[in-house]
Amino acid sequence: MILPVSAAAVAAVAPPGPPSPPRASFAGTAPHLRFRGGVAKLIRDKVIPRLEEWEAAEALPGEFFRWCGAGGLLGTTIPAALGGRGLDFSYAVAQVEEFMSARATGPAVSLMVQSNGVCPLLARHGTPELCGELLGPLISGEAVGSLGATEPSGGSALSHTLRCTAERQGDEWVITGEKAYITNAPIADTVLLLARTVPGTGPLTMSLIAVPSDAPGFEVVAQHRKLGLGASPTGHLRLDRCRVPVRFTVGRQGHGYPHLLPVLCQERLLVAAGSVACARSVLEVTAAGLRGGARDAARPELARMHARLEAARAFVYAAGEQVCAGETDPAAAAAAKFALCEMAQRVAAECARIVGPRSALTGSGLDRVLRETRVLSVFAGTSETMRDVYGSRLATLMQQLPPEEAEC
Amino acid sequence: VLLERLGGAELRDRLLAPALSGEFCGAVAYPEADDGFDCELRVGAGGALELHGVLTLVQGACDADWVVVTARAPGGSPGVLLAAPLRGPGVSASRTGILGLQAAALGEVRFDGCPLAPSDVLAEAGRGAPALAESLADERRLLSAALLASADRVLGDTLIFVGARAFGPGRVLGDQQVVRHRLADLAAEHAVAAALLREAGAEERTEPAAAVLLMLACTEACARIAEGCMQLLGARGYMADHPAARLYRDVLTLGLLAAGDPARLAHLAGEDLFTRADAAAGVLP
Repeated sequence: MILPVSAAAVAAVAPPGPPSPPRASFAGTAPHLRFRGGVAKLIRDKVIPRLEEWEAAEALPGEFFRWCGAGGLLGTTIPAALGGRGLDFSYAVAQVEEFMSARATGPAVSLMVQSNGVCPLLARHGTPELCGELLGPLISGEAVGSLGATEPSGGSALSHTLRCTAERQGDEWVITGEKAYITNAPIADTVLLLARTVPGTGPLTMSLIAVPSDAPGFEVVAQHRKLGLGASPTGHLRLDRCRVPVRFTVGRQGHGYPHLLPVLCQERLLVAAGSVACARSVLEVTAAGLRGGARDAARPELARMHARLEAARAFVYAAGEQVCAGETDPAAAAAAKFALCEMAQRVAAECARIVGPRSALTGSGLDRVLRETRVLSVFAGTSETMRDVYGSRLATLMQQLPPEEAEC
Repeated sequence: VLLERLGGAELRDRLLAPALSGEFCGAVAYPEADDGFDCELRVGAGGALELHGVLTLVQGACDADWVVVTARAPGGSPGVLLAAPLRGPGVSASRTGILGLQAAALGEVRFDGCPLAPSDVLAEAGRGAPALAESLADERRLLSAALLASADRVLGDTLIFVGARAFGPGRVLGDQQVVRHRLADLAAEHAVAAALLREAGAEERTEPAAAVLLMLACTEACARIAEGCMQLLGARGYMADHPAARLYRDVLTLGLLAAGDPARLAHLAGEDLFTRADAAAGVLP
């Protein structure tokens, strides 16, 4: 059971379009389909022809962000008054699905950080002056943004592990610390940095500060080499008494973590939605590549994966509808993150097994999918932390259920 | 629904009203895929219609008063849809010993010249297929809902158990991270399948292909929930009357029915996937 892939075939055959039109109304209405068409065209015309080159160079050029900016993809959910498109979260889901179903995972991740992390945080919590200065170039793609939360000491339980500090001296923050595994860090013009501004370990001890990459004391000390996601540069930052004006504080001082949390939850849902889209695409390509007896032999496994992915899509769409209604549920986002990302990993691994050893060959397409899906259960909140979050919700429920119910 | 949609006035008067009032109980024997009809309609002496054949694993075989069945028409053409009596001459029914779904009273029905009236014919050969497919889709949607409701109950019982079960001084089983993570996995399984059910429930009708995916997703999720909860519950969950043990049995048994047959579900879901995949055919870039 071998997929009909080879270097020549890859060069000769155009990439597939979006696999199946979404069935549910959440992200599959006529306006969504028009939006998806625009995203898909950009991916097909601009991204796919250069993707392998970017992956090999472990780089994502500024032109990618400018193309996305021109296509309106960097301010999808930002209010029109601030220069965005003013669309709801379902369009952010549709956007990431299009990228991930085309297996443009690296660009998808870098884009997501800017359009669904940096820009919304600035738009929601930045002062009008700060938005005027920073948001426009980020939405147009003239500037690249990054979100610096994770540190060498940890990235999941931030309120306890965060060591980066910002001390106020007059009208400036003096920031000292390190940030590790930061997406877009090597190419960023602005890093939204989480730093402790109040002594202690509580959730209200941290602030978000927009740090320009040319600020004194700001240094990218390394670009990480990774198993996959080459086209999404990741770096290590060092801040050595880095001085930034206090007016670059994003939101209330000490409220950086509560500001960040909904964005992190939405990012988790987007990663989950993208994972499902990627897995769906891999499944369909695998199925299409099988013929005759090979197709019959693999049918039961493929069918089960098909059903599970359909349920996964329904789950992430339901959670997305909650976001659109103004309710972001951290537990639902956590469940989506670990369950759906791991499902995508299993689907990729199963498809590779069905395709056979050729799936491991460079250029088979599946080799990159296997490397890229591996990180899905690690970044944006590890599966273990996500299980802790969801398990805590269950533990609360556990205490609320009357013991006698067990005997009913 | 089949009677209301396909039955003539006489048949509706005779069966539908008593069925709605609960006086009569009806059953549906879904045919095997393609051509696997187990019954045959024959024209007997004097031109009367007679039904011959055997149906297995009919829900309510011993309790129902009539059954909707698909049979070969006289002359061998496929798929005439009938409402056949389960009481009276030429019919015998017996209960089948089976692992689960005890309340469904699954059994075997044997027709040996069971007389039928012309008005018992719901649809001529081949014409009942769309209604039957729709009915089967509804059955799958309802069975999925029932399974998930049972799984929800089992998860709730398991939560209560691990929250109360002592595990060392001042600690309970649910304090263990490994237990919480396992529960998180199982609850997420349920939530994911339930999302698809809610989506299907929001639609007036479920397309047959969508119902197949729903049924497949729900049976697989519930099987994993039953297995996982039984493990966490320990011996308690292994007791025959515990909801976890019942769910375990019921999921396994459901696989014997037309609506839940894993091989058939996999075949149909595979067809759906291959159709989609071939339409979007491409190679990995």
